[in-house]
Amino acid sequence: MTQRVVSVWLPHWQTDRLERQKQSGAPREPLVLYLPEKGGDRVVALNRKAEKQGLKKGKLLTDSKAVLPALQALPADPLNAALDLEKLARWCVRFAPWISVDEPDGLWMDVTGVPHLFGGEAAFLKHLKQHFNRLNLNARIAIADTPGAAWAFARFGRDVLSCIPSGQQKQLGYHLPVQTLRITGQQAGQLYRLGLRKLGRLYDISTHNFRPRFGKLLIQRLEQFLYPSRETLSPLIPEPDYCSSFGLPEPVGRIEDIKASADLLIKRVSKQLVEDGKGASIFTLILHGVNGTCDTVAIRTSEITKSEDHICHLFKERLNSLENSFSKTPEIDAFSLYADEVSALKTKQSDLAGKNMDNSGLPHLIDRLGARLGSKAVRKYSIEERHIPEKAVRTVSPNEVVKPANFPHSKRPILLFPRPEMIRAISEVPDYPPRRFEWRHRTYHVTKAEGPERISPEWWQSSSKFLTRDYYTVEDETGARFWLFREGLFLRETQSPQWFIHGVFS
Amino acid sequence: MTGAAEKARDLKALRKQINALDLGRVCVEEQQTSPDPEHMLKHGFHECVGQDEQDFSTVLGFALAAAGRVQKDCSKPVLVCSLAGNAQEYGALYPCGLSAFGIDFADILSVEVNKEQDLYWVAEECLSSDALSAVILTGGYKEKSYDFTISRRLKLRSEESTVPLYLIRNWKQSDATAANGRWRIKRMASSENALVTPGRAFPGSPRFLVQLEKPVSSSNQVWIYEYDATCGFRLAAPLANRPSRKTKTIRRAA
Repeated sequence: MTQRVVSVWLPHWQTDRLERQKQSGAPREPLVLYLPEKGGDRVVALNRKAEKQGLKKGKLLTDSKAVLPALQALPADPLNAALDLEKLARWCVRFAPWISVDEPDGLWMDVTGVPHLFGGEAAFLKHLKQHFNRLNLNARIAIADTPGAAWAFARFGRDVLSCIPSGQQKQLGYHLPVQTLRITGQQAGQLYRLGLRKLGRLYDISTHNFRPRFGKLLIQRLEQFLYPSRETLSPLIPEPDYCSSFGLPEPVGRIEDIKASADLLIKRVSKQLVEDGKGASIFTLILHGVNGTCDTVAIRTSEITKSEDHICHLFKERLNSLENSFSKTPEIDAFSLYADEVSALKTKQSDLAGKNMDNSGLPHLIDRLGARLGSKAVRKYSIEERHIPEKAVRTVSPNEVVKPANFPHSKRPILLFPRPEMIRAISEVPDYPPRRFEWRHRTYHVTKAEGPERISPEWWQSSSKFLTRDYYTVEDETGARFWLFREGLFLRETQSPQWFIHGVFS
Repeated sequence: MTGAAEKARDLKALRKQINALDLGRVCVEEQQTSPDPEHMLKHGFHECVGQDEQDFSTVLGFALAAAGRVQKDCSKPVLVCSLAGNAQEYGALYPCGLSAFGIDFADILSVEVNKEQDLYWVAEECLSSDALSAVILTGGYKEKSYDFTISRRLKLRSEESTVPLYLIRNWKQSDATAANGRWRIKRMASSENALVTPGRAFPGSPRFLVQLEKPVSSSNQVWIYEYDATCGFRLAAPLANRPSRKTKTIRRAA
């Protein structure tokens, strides 16, 4: 299925946002938002009424007020505008699941497979526009195969709603200006000076000619406009339901202070979980530094939990290891804790005597070991249905349910060498177990032996270099028992079969 | 035959067997005052030591057999913690071979640590939890930091816990520690296999010569244990089949 992307452009987002916060019935006055810049306050955003009066972005506020004395001017708040844009993006999840914020005044939606639910692409865009109108937001919307093309037609298309049929962005975008490629003003100026004002003029120029003069951004943007799958949209991560954060008036750096702050947050989040009868298996602590850095410490439990003590214990281990990783004392002035993978806790059943059958001890122990030694430190064995001894076993996570071995294994050693070691063996008869063998500069005289147990190559592995092995259990005069094998069938597989030791019995 | 004569015959047979092993002075008579090894092994902190480097698998087998006994009673997993990087030198634990000691591979949890200190930390964490039936530590004979203080910590932990701890130590070390028991285990020729073909001898059930070095007692300190899949971990037949002194006394009275 071809990817279809919607780009929503909100040309008056910053002012529309403020006007929405006012009384809805109040008449709209010309409004501009300004930021202090070089040479004085400059207009960074303006509403439609101010635009109609001939005001423009980038002008000095004093000049704008000279043109329109009744102009209302407010300082711009880009941070809160970005936060509100994210809220709007979350609201848009009702239309499509994959929403991405296109700062400072747009949204992207991956609507692949969605429009037919609304009666087609044109109806879908109309539906979207109606919803934005209801929110008193002025929106221009386009749908195309690529995010780049949708972005371009939303901002530079002739109509408020642009529906670009699949595969036609190249043809329909021919007359669009080069600014549609999301390039810098300086690059656009350079293209203008070369007479390349329309996008279509760039189609046939070799990329080798662009790169030295414009760098790779222009080529990348052109490809992102023309070809699908050249640009990925980062979806909004769902907001955690269980989180807590707090700031400090003065930054802290001692590990004890960090642990105390973490404990406080854990207590809060744990309380929230307990109140709702839920538990979580991922807890993420974010340490916000004064210089804008963010350190993240995450723990994962093997089963969902709400136990405050257990979470505190795991964070203590992780923070101890983090202490060594700090190159200098951190300055942290805010902390946040999120709980993820939240689900309802199952009620623990009690036995007939009324005794609680709580078996949470093992998962808690595994978590504690994993917090210090790494999540893969604790393993469990799983037996595969394979005859080759070294391939018959693998280790799995302790939470994984392992199948019982459903085929009987003959006598197997308690210790197995990962790589069989070659030995020098002497046997009386070629197919008999060895009478004597040398291993690690020591000679062993065999007094008891059992075998052979023949293990053949796996016929389904056509490229396997595995040779037939004849295994023997041998015992020397002191009682030491070994698992030896002779590799290769004489003349059929090899000219000189070799002896190896593969394991040691107890 | 009188009781004394019967006892003398048994003693003679066992002395002959033990002298063959060149172990020195040992006492194999089962007495009422002797410590019960199986009972001792079910609780506390025990050090298991071999006779030489080749005994690593023997000592591990003994510890697994002891842990298997405890595991049967409480059905909780056994944790084996080992030092990383020893697999090729001593061999890695092979779960298919565990059934020979009565342990299901699914009941084994394996932990690999990079530092020796972590080995003891894991032991302390495990002993503070009631989720395991037994803990086995294998440092691969490379212990450096193990000393009296660590052994004391482990002992105190094990006294608070119901989980037994078995530490496989270097056979060369004999310094004083606070462990509840130190067991020296030596491999022995396996028992005679019942299915003997003339001219060929097959390995039978594994046998261990077990000597309790600590606590020192005047009573019986040496046992011969063997393991077989049917009967489990037990005293070897010549000792196990002999009626106890109490039974004999009753019979005589009758």
